[in-house]
Parts: sequence; structure tokens; C-alpha cells
Amino acid sequence: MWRRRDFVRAGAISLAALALPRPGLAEETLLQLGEHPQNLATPIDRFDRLLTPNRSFFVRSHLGPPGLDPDRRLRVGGLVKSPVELSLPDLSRFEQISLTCVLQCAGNGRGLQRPTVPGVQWAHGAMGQAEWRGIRLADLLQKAGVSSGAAHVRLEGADLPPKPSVPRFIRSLPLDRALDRETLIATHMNGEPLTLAHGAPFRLVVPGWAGNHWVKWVTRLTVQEKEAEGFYYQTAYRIPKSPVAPGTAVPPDQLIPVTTFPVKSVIALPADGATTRSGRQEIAGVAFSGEAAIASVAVSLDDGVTWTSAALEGEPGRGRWQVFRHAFDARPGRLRVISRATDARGNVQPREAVWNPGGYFWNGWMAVDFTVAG
Amino acid sequence: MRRSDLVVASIAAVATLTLVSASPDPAGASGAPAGAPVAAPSLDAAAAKTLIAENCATCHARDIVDQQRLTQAQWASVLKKMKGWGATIEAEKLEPLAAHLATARGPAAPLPPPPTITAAAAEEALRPLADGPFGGGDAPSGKRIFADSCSVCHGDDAHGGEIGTNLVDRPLLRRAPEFAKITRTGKGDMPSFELKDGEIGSLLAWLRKVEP
Repeated sequence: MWRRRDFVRAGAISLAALALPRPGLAEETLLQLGEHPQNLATPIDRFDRLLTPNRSFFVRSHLGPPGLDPDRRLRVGGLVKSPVELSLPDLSRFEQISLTCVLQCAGNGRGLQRPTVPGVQWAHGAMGQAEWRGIRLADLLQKAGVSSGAAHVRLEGADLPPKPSVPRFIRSLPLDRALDRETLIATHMNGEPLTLAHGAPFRLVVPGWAGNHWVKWVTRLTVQEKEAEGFYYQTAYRIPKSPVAPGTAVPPDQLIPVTTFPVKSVIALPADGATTRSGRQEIAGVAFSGEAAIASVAVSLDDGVTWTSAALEGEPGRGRWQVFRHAFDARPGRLRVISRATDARGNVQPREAVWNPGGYFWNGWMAVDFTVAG
Repeated sequence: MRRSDLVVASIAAVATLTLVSASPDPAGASGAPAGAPVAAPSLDAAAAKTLIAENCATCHARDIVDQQRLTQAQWASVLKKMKGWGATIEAEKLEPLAAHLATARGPAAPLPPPPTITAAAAEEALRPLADGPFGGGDAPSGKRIFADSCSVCHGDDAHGGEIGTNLVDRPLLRRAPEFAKITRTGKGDMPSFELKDGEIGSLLAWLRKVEP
């Protein structure tokens, strides 16, 4: 049985959501985990819908944005037959692709992991789903012509570190993932041009893969034989090859890069600690997996003894979330609801997430306690 | 203030920073529970706060520090990483600061929920502002002013030095009134500089042209 205090911890930060206005007409808000550079979480009650509003969409920054520069160029070089340099208008001449998928920070849920580890202490709010629009990275690479020996695409954003002694945020994608038909250089988010905080004028979109690959302000793509150099690829964003006991120190040679995020569901409504009216209750949230579409979401009202299938809304897809809803009649009293997602490959959201020293990919069951008034 | 005085002031600020010294905790007033492992000499809360303000807040707000809940070994590891990345804290202050932080922000310390801000406030922090009286600057003049007054901390090419942060290709360069305010009132360890509107405009004109 899951311990009571785990439930309490999982729900603790969502208490903040109680004080928020209901979404819709009210001013959009964010939870500030970092003033500068900006690290802002989406309030949990926004996870009751297919698209997360741009204005309350989480922001993750390592170094902070560069200046807003609509004339910024995107250069493609390295192991290519003809290097390419493009401006924002140049990108509009490629086939425009729209797709809806989840952007989730690898560290989403780090704040729920025990023992605690360093980093931004995200609860559930470092995720969101948007309709992304842009061009296929594959089309861009085809224009440049990938040469033999190429295996990775190094991704460099325009964001500079605060001091030369701080590493730049450099990532890379394996070539097969770069050539995936759904890997985009995006210019728009939910129908609006990207804002500076979200990577204007262009950023990567890598459906199903953690946000660290979705490089913002991307300005230089280098096709190369090796994966990226430096701290943010060689040291950070790595997890143990196989699970370790919580709190274990893991040698670097036993760590591999985080890529595809695991199956997960998050309950948006009711809010943890809420009091609702008696009668019909609705549980709502989102479920997604980086590997495959969501197959089902089950809801339990008795600490996981019995489960009921929730209704799903939205189109299933890899790295795409669907909204789940479960309505029932409740008698007055205290209730706890738990959700559990399963993806189309049979991956089931685990009761306890796998602990790791970076605090990545927390996906344990979330429990919400609420009271039905008499 | 003459240019030469500004340089002297900047250098004095550098000297002050490297001399910053947190007084040892004379009476064990750090609030550590009896029996807790605390490295000696320890820091009191005020000294730790000063160290964080002067050495950490140059690059990031202190909220990221405040939300960590770590053991002394974890804190020591984080501080070592930051020292390696150019934090100006003296090496002998690392262990006492780690010990203090492990006491004040150890794994068992409660973590309050993060503050809620409006989307408008988050956007405002990055929004370009009109140049106003700081427009139409002369880049060559700005280059000279920078070399005289700023480069000692921010580096000859403005990409940041040991003390000052990078000023190239940053949203601040499109927020002239905020840039002027920081220049004239200082920020953290940065001293104030009495520059005319046109001189600030010239600084901006040059900084906007520096290659990233």
C-alpha cells in the first residue's frame, strides 16, 4: 500500500492551485520557481484540456533568452553537401507542418522525488500541450544534403551564458530522430508566433522526447559524427542504465541520456484539498506517453484496490496527451482519487516512479484528496 | 565622476568582492539542532545571506537556492559545481556555506509552495521598451565608454568576465530605461556610474552591435 505521506507530498504543491481563479475569463497565471532566469510552472488546474494556453504554458530556462531578434538566422552546417542559412521568411517557403503534442521538461516532478535531488523543484507544472507549427527538420537536412559519416545533429541556441566560464546549453539529436517526419523547427505555438520565452523566432519540436531536446532560439545545426560535447549533454540529462536504489550515487559510465518520457497521468480537477458539492463529481486530467499513444486511463477511489476506466477525449498519438474524465455520484465525506495510465505498448504508469540522481521522468501515481460537502 | 575615477571605483568594487568575509559563528547561533553534524567554522544566517547575494545572485535569482532541500554533501557538490562555473565565492567559504545550507535547507525542511505570478508580469520582464532619451547613440563613443568603465568587470568583448555578466545579445539591450537604471544605481556588487543619457545611448548602440 502506498503510504499516506507519499500522497500528501504528491499533492502538497497543488494546494497552491486552490487560490487561483478558475480558468477562462480570469487572468492567466504561472507558478514562479525562478524569477531570472525564468522558470515558470503551469498551474495544475490547466491540465483539464487538450491545449495548454500559451500565456500559462510553463517556461524552462537554463541561461535566459537572447535578445528578441526576428532577423535571427538558422544555419545548417557540418557534414552536409551545401551549408544552408535561413531567415524566418525563408522557412515559410518550406512545407508547413502542424502537430499537437506534449512538451515536458525531463525534470517535471523532481520536487516529488525522495530522497531529494538538486535542480528546479518542479511538481507537475513543467508540461503542456500545444499545436506546434513549422517545418520538418528532415526537409531542411534534405536541402543541405547529409553527407556520409553523419550520425548526430548538434543543436545550438542563441542563448549565451552569464559568464564565459558557464557552459553553453548545447544538445544533439541522433540523426534518425532528426529525420523523423514529426521532428520540427517550429515558428508557431497554438496559432501564434513563438514568444521570446518560448524560443522565438524558432525552436525544435521533438514529439515524445523530453524538453531538453526542444532547443529554443535555435541558431546553428551541425551535422556531425559524434553526439554533443559539454555539460548539458555529457553530464546533465542522464539517467541510470538500469534502476538503482533511491539515494544511490551512480558512476558516470552507468548513465545514459534521457530521451523518451514514460507513460504518465496527472489529475487536474478536483484540486487537492478542495471541497465539492455532493452529487455528481467529475475527475479530469491528462495522460500521455512518449513512446506510444494512450490506450486507457483507470481511476481508483479506494487506494488502488478497484479501478474504473475513464473516458478519453482527443486524438491518440505518440507524445500526445488525451484528456480523461470520470463522473460518479458521491456521498458526503472525504475521498481520494488516483489515476493510472496505460499506453498502446502496454507500459503502465507505476505506483512509484523510478528514483534517479537527476530527478528525471517522475511518473508515479498522483493522488488527490478532496471533501464532498454534506 | 571622471572616467578615471570610474575605473578606480570598479577596481575597488572588485577588491571588495574578493575581500568579502563572513564572520564565523561565535556562539553556535546557527540554529543547528544538538548533535547535528556542522562543519567548523559555521556561518550565521546573515553571513550566509550575504554570501549568496554577492556570489550567486549575479547569475540567478536566489529563489532557485531557496527551493533546494539537500544534505550537506549535496550542497557541497552544488557549490563546487558553481565555483567551477565562475562563482566568485572563496574556496574556504564553500564548506561552511554548505553546512549552513544543509541546516537551514536540509531534506526535512518544509518547502512552501512557489509564488503565483500573472502571465502579464512574466511577459513584462522580457518585453522590449522604447529607447526614449537613450536612442540615437554613437557606437564608437559607446565602445570607448565601455572600455573605460565596464570592461574591467564585463570583459573586453562584453561577454562577461570573472565578476560581471555577459551583456551581448540580451533582452536588456532592448530595455533602455532598465539598462540606464542599472547603470546609474548599480546592481548587486556593481557600482553606480554617473552617465548622461547620450552616453548610455552610445553604450547601448555599441553593445547591440557586438557579435554574439
